[in-house]
Amino acid sequence: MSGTELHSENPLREGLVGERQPEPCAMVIFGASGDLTKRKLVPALYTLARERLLPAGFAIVGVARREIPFVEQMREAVNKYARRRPVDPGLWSTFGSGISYVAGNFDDPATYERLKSHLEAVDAARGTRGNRVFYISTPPESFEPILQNLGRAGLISRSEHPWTRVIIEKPFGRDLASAEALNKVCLNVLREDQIYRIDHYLGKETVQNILVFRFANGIFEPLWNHKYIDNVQLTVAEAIGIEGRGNYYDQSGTLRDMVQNHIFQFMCLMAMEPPVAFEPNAVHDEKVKVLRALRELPSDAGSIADWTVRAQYGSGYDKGQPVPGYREETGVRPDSRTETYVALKLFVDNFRWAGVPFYVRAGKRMAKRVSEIAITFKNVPHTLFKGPSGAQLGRDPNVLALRIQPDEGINLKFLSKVPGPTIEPRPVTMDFRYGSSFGTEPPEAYERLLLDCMLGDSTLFTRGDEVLESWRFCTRMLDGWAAADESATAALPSYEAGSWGPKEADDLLSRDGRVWRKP
Amino acid sequence: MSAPVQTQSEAGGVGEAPSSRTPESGDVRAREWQEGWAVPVDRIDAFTLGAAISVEPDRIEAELAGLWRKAAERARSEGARFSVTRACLWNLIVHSDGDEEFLRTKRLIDEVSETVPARIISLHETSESADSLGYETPDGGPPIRAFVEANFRRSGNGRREVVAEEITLEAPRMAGQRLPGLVRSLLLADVPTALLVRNPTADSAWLPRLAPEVERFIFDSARLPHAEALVQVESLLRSLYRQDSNRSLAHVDIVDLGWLRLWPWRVLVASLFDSPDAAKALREVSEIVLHHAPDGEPAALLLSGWLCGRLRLRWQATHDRRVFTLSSTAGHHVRLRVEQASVQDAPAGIERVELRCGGHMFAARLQGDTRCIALSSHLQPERVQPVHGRPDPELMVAAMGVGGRDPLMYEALRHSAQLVRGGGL
Ligand SMILES: NC(=O)c1ccc[n+]([C@@H]2O[C@H](COP(=O)([O-])OP(=O)(O)OC[C@H]3O[C@@H](n4cnc5c(N)ncnc54)[C@H](OP(=O)(O)O)[C@@H]3O)[C@@H](O)[C@H]2O)c1
Repeated sequence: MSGTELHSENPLREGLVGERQPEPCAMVIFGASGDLTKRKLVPALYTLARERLLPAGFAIVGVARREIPFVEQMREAVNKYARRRPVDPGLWSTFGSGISYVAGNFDDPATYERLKSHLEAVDAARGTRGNRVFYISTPPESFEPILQNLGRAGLISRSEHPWTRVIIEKPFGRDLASAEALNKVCLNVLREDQIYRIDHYLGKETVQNILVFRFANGIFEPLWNHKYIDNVQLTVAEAIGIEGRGNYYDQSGTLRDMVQNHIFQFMCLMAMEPPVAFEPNAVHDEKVKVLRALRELPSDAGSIADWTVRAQYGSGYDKGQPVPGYREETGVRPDSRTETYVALKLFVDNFRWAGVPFYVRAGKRMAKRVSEIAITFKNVPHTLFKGPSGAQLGRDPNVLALRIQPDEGINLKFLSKVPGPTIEPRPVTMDFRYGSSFGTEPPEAYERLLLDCMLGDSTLFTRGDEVLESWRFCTRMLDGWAAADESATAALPSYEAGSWGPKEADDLLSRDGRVWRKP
Repeated sequence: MSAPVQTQSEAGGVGEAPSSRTPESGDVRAREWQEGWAVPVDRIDAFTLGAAISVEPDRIEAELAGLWRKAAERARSEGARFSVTRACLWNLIVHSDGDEEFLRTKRLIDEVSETVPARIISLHETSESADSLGYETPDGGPPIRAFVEANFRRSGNGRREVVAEEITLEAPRMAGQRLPGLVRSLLLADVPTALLVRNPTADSAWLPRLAPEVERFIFDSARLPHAEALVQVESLLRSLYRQDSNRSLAHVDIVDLGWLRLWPWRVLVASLFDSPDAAKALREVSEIVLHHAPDGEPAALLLSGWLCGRLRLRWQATHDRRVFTLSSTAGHHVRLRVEQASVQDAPAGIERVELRCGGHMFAARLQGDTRCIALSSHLQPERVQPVHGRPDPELMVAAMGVGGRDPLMYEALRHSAQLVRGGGL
């Protein structure tokens, strides 16, 4: 991995391999009074401090509109949300003394002048040496003004010493044109290697384990292709609804919220070729190739439904409690056509995956919360075993399921003989659970990602061309849906809250002679 | 361990030994019995509650296979308050000398198995003589007693999840030479084996036979009776594993829990020298002072050994027992003092580490009676970092992870042994 770890000249650092400690720096959070800062970012930084992973010179500077007692609020937030609670008073004396706040509007250049002189004072007091991470955790409308104003105020260093890195929250655009425009703004003020587009799913241990599973084990990779794999199913199901975020969700929908980013990232890791090294660009290069190999979907209103299904949840029950349908949720237009469920049939047209369908589904208010990648292998070419009536036995294919959440692990379904005088094959599973084999608590995704950014390691972030490629693909789909909506050819199916999705999604697979897994 | 718990043996159930071979001690021994636990009614119940069940040494595997099978069946029955998931990442052999250490070790491995599922083979050497035991085995040697039990953890929903097993082999010290063969037969294939011997300097008949066969050898320098034992450990490791240079460790990873305990001190002391100016100053180190708690002398010497190794300082002379003159590769002299501090307790036994470099002091000092260490130098604002001593189970887990492999430990041990011995690296 590349990056800026300390130690080259310090002989006492040698051998302290487990500790990846970044160079001194200040972390500036735009959107400091927001939900993400309090629930995830500052608690993650505190945990890093507790585990001695922050550099000696470190400071947090919050920026947002309102005047707030930021340090006290962050102490409360750490007490409530950090992985290690309650706050340790000794540690807080150092950590808390490095937290400060600058109030101002993101659109106002004066905010950045104040921020600049504040950061100079922080450098002097905390030894942060001019190195900065700017974390843009704001509504997307503010991404561009912040980037432009940072550039204008001379707050971005393009050199290696001191360095500047910028983390940008999701969503990175809402279609190809807006993502391209945002990317352009980024590249006007930053080099690509200074931009860290965050997808917090990539910080999850189980997602990283896809790479270890594939590339550190000798037995799976030879089977990982069209010769042995019949189909792949990627599922990201949530049991919750839109949780009061109707205004936001109705503008977004499941394709933008889950598929374009998280699911496409899983798919890339699952389908990519082995990178030449575990280094940012080598990994990004292989992911982009997968996205480029995605077979284009038809964008006309008539045939898009052969490849995609979108739907909205109707009313139903969640754990026995009645819940409203999507269009009855607050903030949602009563005639909304925003999807809360998507099912797709995709092909990665390359040597490895020729002819293997990748079935993707994601949705809200589904039967349970589960994210997994299930790989169904081809059947044996000839069945030896027959039942009393001559029926073929043992046609159940092997399935390898990589469970991302919850109950993280891997299981393999295979056939085994039922004990007795006849040969009766029955499916059994071999199960690996993270929880059972490794009792240690995995770090929060944000801990890992914030640390990686400070270390200058962007392997677990998304590169510009990845984001644009996935938008290119999804925008075509969005266009097809818009055309269908206009010609009113397609009724939007609905599914019962608490179910596995609409009947149309089952039809998508049954046309190919397949069924969805019930994870 | 509390009083033995008697259970009914399941009629025709698992592993009912022929009565003539039934061991004389209680059939089931309880592990630390927790309030609110039901009293086990039979062997399966006892197994899933984590009680130790007496078995014949030659039927250990058969008994375990039966207990696991029955436990899994019972877990599927309605109202079961536990689940069964068998997992194993290691064979872990632990040795304890005497009953007191056995109990301490047992608590440790109970906690370790919550995190690292392992087949644990616990060797308990007792001080009984064969005569006092009242009978002899058919081959004329003193008897070995065996117990099996399940280790489990709490799953997210508070249920007990039975994950791994523990086998205790109890033998009078004089029967120690009978243990290696039995242990070998009990090791699971395809998982590595670790051996934990807290104090490897004690006399042992079996250690030299088993130690070279494991993948990881774990000891604890903080449990050594005195700092001089560092010299013994160093030469023992050299003879067991034929270490001939600092880094050419054989196929075995040697892990010192005491060394892992020093990790926060090493990181914090190292962090004082991260800036280029500080790293430059370090080349001009002229004095090193370490203060330790009363029982922290081996730790302080080990930490000194680390500094010597990293800063390429060689022993020149010893004055007043723990005051040394060292020489750097550039030829200048460095004074090292290792002193007992007035504190009774300190993280990893260390109270402060100070390095005087080019007229400036770089220091990591425990703050009063807190668990916080203040780091100071003229190049940085003072900063405070809490150091939570890692409990032994956590250290064991680290010892069995990637963090366990650290060639610098051996380098530090060699240098510390040299300080104690007065030369002869
Ligand atoms: N929350 C999550 O769990 C989550 C998860 C994944 C990704 N994200 C992403 O993270 C980002 C932030 O989410 P959030 O939930 O934290 O948002 P939020 O709670 O709505 O917070 C928005 C923040 O931006 C500030 N702000 C907005 N406009 C401003 C302006 N013109 N000038 C100055 N300050 C302004 C607000 O300051 P005032 O309060 O002072 O107005 C507030 O601090 C979003 O891009 C979101 O998509 C959030």
